[in-house]
Amino acid sequence: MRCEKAKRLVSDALDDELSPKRLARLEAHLGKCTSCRAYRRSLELIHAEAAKEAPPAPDQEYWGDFVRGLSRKIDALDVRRRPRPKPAPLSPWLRPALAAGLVGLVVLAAFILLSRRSPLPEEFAYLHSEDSLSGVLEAAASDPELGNYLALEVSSSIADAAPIDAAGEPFLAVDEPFFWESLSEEELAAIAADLEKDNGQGEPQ
Amino acid sequence: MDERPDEELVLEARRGRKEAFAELVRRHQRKIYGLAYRMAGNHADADDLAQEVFLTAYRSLDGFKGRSGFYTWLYRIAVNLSLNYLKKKGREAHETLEGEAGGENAAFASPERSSAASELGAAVGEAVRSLPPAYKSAFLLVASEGLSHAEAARLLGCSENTVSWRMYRARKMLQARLQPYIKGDAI
Repeated sequence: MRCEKAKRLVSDALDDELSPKRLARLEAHLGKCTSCRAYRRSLELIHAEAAKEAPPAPDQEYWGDFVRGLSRKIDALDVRRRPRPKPAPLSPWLRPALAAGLVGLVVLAAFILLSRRSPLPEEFAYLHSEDSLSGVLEAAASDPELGNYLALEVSSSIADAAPIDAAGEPFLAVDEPFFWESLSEEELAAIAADLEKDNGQGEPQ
Repeated sequence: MDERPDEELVLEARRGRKEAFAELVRRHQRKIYGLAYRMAGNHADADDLAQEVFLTAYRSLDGFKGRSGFYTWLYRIAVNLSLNYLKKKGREAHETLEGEAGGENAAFASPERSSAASELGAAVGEAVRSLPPAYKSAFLLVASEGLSHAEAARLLGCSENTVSWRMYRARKMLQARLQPYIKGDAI
């Protein structure tokens, strides 16, 4: 047996991990190799010292503090992990009220925005309003209740905003000849298509 | 003193009874601290490690399936956390003996040059702490904790052959480093 192999077996032997057959072969080598015997002796000393080295034994006070400190950490851990209480379910009558309130808020916000934005001359303010309402109209398209409410508000706001003529009727911009002249070709084509669809009249009169 | 078996206390602790977990801590804290101390080599780090072992166990109580004993499970957590600690320390500033078996090491070059390690016991402790993490963990589990190669292999997630090889290499490094202290004794 070569010495390097013997040294490997010495290590296993110290851990009681060597089969009797291998142990016998090792002992045979050690019997005639002074160097390997010295190596084994030095490892035995190291092994014995390493096994002797015991960790310090802290006193009872330390262990009391250890458990208390750990308990505090566990409490903090539990506080973080505790599930948040779910909000109480809304009562059945409160839901529609809340929904209606939200719709009202949306409409109110839309009108506040519209009222603040009017850089155009007053007589063309409705054009700007139509553009600004596009987002709200999209929302209203998927919500019939909001759609009805919006339609009502828009009708009444037009009536409110339109000047009153001599007969006491609201004067609408469409009655103004210059209104049509201000429109682009595309806008006129779109209006014509709508009129065609609605009542078969392809040209604005 | 509560004499119920560990597994019963684990069930109680899972139901939220913290006193049951505190009893488990009291039961095993010394052994876990001992392992942590051997791995860390100082009280402050051993204290932190031992606390972290029990915190990790508490967080993972639901994962304890009872296939092994509670202490074995706890011990495995301790070994894993200790290995992480050793790797971290190794990355930070560890001066290892790996590859220096025949070379010079200031701390262990000779008894005269090391006042702290003037005795073999202290020198062995220092030398073991200076081993590279993989060798140190194997050496501590087998030589200090008394585990078999098979048990250490399971804990370390390697083969028995690897443990055997690491033990051989660790001993060789230690023997080379400690030669000035043991020369007279060994022959």
